[in-house]
Amino acid sequence: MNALLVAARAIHFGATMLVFGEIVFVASVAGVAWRRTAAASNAGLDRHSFVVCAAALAAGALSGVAWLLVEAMQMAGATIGDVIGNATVVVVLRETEFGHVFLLRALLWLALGVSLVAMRTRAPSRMRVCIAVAVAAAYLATLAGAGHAAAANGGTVRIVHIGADALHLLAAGAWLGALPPLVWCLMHAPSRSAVLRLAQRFSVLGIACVLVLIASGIVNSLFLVGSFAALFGTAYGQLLDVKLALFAAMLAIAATNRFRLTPRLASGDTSRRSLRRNAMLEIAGGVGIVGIVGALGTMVPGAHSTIRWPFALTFDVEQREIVAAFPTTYATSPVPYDVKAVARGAARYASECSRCHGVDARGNGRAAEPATKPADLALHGLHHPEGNLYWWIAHGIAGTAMPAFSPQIGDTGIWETVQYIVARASAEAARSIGPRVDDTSMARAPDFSYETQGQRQRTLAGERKPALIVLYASPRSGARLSQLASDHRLMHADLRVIAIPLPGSPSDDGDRATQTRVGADVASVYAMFAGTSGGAALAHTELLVDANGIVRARWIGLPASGADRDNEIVAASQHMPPPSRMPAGMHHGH
Amino acid sequence: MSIRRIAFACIAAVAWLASATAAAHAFLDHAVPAVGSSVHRSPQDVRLWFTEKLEPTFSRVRVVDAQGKRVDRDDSHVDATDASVLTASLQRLAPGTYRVQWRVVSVDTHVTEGDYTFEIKD
Ligand code: HEC
Ligand SMILES: [Cu+2]
Repeated sequence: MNALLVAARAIHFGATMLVFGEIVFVASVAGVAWRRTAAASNAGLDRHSFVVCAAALAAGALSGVAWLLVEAMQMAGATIGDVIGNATVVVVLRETEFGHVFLLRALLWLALGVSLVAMRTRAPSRMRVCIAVAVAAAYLATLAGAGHAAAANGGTVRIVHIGADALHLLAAGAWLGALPPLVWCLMHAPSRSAVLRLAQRFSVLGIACVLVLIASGIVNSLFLVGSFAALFGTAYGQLLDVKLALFAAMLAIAATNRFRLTPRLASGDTSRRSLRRNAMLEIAGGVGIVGIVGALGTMVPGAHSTIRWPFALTFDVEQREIVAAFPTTYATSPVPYDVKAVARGAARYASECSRCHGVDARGNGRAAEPATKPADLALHGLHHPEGNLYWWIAHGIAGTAMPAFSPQIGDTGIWETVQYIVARASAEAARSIGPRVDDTSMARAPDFSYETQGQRQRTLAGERKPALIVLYASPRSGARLSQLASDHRLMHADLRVIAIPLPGSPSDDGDRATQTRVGADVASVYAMFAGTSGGAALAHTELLVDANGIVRARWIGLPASGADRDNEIVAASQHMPPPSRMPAGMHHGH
Repeated sequence: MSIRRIAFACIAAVAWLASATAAAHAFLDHAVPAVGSSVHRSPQDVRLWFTEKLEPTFSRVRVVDAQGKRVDRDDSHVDATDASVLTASLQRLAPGTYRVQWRVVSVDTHVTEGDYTFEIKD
């Protein structure tokens, strides 16, 4: 099924590019380089290009219909019988974006057919040629509306992405699609000077296409591959690497043509055959690229799949040095960073790790050997990629006392432990944050759900808005919470106030004042974030968390003047970074 | 000087583009009731936010109780104002564990599916 989809897409892309390239080549290269040479070869070229275009349009139609049917089967989760019998295909055409693009392109297909026949039956005026080029361009560029680019969120971003994708298609079509007619011309060229002009004109077209391909390709891969690591560590990225390698090989061939063979042509050497052989090689490369494109569109792009890093080393951008790397170095946790996971990780940490790393993860457990002191996880937790933490816990650290915990602890359990370490280190990092907004903060607030009277349940991260989290255990916190709840400036600043009673909190005033209610694990996890004074936990702490879940400012203890502190809070909330587009719970402090 | 400024503008543009990666498959971003959470009152509906816009015709969510009986009102639909939100309204739920099952098609035709549970406490 998937193979059918890949094949249908590849044939459709290839056929569509071929029509466009053929028309562009005849109009811009052959037209000028050779039209005025001999009437006979002229007519031959016109016939050749008509036949190729007609065949490509037919292949495009067949593969397009196959593509539509397979997509309809996948979307509806139905068999081919259902898709045709129950008219699911019609529903897809009428109600989905893919269907709308398909219909539009069917119209363009018709228009292109008509304009080709018009060119063939009447004299190919400049007007008719221009129309054919424009329609073929539209027929090719609209393929961008049927791919990953169409799904981009946000107005400008979507336009940039679709635009880059369309340019990429047009440049690829103008280059690859022009190769078959180039070969034909090289075989039928009436004179050596005609070949020379052909080669010169074609290299201008080629260079223009290559520049556009590179620029638009970079934009596309920024969107879809997402990171350098994904380019090597995901199936999507690796297939893209193969595509890039093919592209580089084709560039090398094109450069040989331009800088070695073309000059020799001028001096009368027999390089016409070499030019033709090279064009055939480029066609082979192009077929490979189109096949890969057929597959890429059906895969999860690198930006969204788990990265498996294939090398033992990597370049650390922050430290600007080459460091050791593991297969999971760039992996992101499949377990969300929320209080449930952190609480489970904390329990596991207490039973398995604290004897060495210490109860508060400072590397001072009873069983710690002075020779190899266990790492201070409260400090290091945020300074290693979470994928490295995972790897060390799963596989141990050779030559040290750090044991491997896989397989006694399963995958999920290890990631939960990682999330606990991240939370523990975040709590530690938050200790140095004051009432001023900290732009460099890496302290991440674990996600949790809460209910407010009369509203549907919400989560800290899901809202994508800043929040003031009040951790309290003091009997005097109630008055402060009532004051926060009634301060309209906070409401106008669109700042949520979430009260979290710490374990051992004597009253539930907070609940009543702000009318928020949080689950059980929230208190025990957020107790780590409570300020301390002389080693003892403070009974009142206020944390300002930005829209991405990063702790940006912190006030410890009850305020002397609540109104003054509210001023600071409102001022700080005005300097929060905007929400990122990363999925909730996947934010990092870097 | 001006070359440096241009270089800076290029880097900024690249960074901006890179921060706005397209999802290209609809993954669950977050949900209410939240994944694995407990709620104290019977919620009126489930709302699922996805990382990408959905095809309304082919995107569905349903909710079942511990015995596998449907407890949503069979009115699953994509939100009219935000095409990346899928919702369905719920019957009055007694305390217990419920499973949310979804299958969505993103506007670039990719199918994703998944499920999660939440709990009603009294
Ligand atoms: C027998 C003692 C011992 C136990 C038990 C132990 N560790 Fe370790 N761990 C160490 C030592 C020693 C190191 C330092 C290794 C080194 O010098 O690189 C270490 C290093 C680490 C590191 C690397 C940190 C860094 O910044 O380099 C992580 C992460 C870690 N341990 C997590 C855990 C977790 C999680 C557990 C429990 C599941 C655990 N350890 C259990 C002794 C232990
Ligand atoms: Cu370390």
